[in-house]
Amino acid sequence: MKRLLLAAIFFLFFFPLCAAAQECLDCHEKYQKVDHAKVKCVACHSDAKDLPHPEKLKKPECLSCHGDAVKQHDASVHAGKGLKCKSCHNVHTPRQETKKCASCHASPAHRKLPSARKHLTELSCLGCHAKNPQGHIDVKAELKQSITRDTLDKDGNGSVDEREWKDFLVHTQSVVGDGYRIKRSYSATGNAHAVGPSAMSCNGCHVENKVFHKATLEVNARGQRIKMALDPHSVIPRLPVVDLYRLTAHGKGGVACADCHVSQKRIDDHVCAKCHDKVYNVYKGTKHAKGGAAKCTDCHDPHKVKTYRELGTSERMAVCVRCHGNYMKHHRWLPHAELHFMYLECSTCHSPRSRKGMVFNVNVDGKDGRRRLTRDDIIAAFGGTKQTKDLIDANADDRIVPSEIIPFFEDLGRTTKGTVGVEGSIAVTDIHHDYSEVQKRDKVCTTCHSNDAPFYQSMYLVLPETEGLFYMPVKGTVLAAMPSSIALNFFLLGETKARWTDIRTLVGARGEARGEIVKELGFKWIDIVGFFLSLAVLFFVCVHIVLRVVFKR
Amino acid sequence: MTNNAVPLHPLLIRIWHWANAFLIFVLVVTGAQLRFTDLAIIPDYALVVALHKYAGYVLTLFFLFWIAAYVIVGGFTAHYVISLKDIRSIPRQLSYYIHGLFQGSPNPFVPSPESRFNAMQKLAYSFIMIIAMPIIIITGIVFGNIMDFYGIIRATGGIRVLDAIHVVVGYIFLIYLIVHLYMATLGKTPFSHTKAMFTGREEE
Repeated sequence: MKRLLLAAIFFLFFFPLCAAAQECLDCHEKYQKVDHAKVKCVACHSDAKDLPHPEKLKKPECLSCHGDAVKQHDASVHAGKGLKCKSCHNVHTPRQETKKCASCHASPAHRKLPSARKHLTELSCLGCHAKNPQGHIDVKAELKQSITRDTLDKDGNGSVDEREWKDFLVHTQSVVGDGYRIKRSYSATGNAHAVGPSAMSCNGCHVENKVFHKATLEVNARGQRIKMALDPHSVIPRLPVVDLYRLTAHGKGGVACADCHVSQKRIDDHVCAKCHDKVYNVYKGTKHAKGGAAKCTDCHDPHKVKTYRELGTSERMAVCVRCHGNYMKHHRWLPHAELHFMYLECSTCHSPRSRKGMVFNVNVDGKDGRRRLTRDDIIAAFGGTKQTKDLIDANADDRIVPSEIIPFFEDLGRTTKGTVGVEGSIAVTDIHHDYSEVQKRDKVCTTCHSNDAPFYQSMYLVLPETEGLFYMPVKGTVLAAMPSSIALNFFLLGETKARWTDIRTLVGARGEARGEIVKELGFKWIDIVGFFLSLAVLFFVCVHIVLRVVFKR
Repeated sequence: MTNNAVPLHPLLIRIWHWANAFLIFVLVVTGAQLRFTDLAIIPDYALVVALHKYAGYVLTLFFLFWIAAYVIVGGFTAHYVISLKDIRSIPRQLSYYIHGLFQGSPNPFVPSPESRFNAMQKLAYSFIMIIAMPIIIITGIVFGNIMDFYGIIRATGGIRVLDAIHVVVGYIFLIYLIVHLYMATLGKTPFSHTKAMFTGREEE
């Protein structure tokens, strides 16, 4: 009954329009199928109200009804190109015959668009070309193992931020293995009347959140569904922002974006070779470069804040592992492989022509985990007037002794929030880019585990200076011998073993120098005392034997 | 074997002793090479590592065997636990080794199946077997499986400290070995103690 009543009201309201349109259609039969929202002909053709109407009618004004759209169009790039409403819309059948972008832009090249295929598949034209596009990302994760909300949302704020998302990915890769699937759907669109003169810049999505304000994560873990908000940047990779780029090695060196990015295509090795010609000349003939297997940027991220020297061994290994993921399989022969990889990088063994050294990085273990000592820590502890190396080597003799380094670390420990310690590694200090040579992969433990290991000749304490990192030559024993024993967890079966030269140096030294050497010997004292005690016992035994022979017992 | 030989060492203890002697010899030699790689007693370093590691594990088994042997044959307290009487007798025993022995004085201690070791032997053996052996075994097992015990290693001072403890006890074993081998010649004849460790009976 209620429906019938509504139908009657509808009919009564629209009957006059239909009747009016019918009058027009008597002559203009071709407009039978007009679908302009039931607007009667005279609503636009106002000068045709009275019949017969003048032969030449005025052009209808879209603006009177579509004010906003017309204004947006007038400000758009299309208006600038002379396009009118009817260039795209058939005003009598706008629903059926409105042109799409592709009607005019059949195959836009998008040559400058990086990852063009991905972008064009995921996004509509208006997602980038409309003035204020709006987008949404749906991320669906299917897991074969159950997961809790806490694993996703560690801080419990109801949404998954970038860090939590990365942790989740690590969790799925390590715990679930291959048994997971993540599907990302990006949908963005905008007002077709407000098409800008240029598309949204990369920064719009990859630095700011101009398009994708929202993202939703839906996890389906063995039938259990968890739905949460997700930081869009978790699934939109961030580009280096200009402020951050200034801190990179390239940024500091005054390299501008356009020096490398001559187009938006991915830069190839020749761009790098413009400055790094020496390195490139070595690299281009190597196994990595020959098959086009690895370009410079496959290993080196020029936008990274850290230079290669600043990367820790695990970070350097992560670069190789991108391609050589199954490295553990090839190192089954290596005893304590996992332990070795905590202190080595791949190039330690696989780049025989690179120079390596025992590198001691200074770390601070605080509430937020472990971090590298920074120049700010040094300034907080000692002020900013002196370079860090001058703070340690107070007498500037380029030789560090325990009496210089101990107070430095003690003072540092007092002002720095957290425990200051040294983390050793055998790392490349001067890289040679030829990884084709294999002669050093000899699987001989004594290459490293002997007193003659080359690393003992090049030990460095890495210090943060104003201009970057400074590799200060140091004796490993100096660090190990400290009362605070800052390098206790680094051990290469060699630096703690006494040699004749140690004993000779100790015997030959006089006065204050002897005191320093006594401290420097550190764990080597175990060998010295052990050896001489064994000798003393042997001597006593010999005396006893002689006495027994003399007394015939 | 003479008729007046005293039954001193039970068979289980003799088996343990010679297995232990062989293992400690292997461990000292390989340990020395691991410490000073220039020694190159055995050219293959990886073999030295393996020998040291597995000899250590077998030594651990024989340490358990030693405990089991004493549970079976008994007399652990009498042989290893030092009494006040033992402490009082140390100067007399020491005086015998550095003075009386050359004068032809009799050994103040006469071993018997009930009490095989004099006070100084008790002191040395109980230190080696109750303190030094467990320490070197535990540090050795931890060294052999660093990643499994990484948390403990970090908490107790790091690998250098672990190495220091293992090596210090290693030197103690070396010194003990020198003294022990020499003291074994101080029997009635230079080889009577050694013979007794094979036969189980000490000639009087």
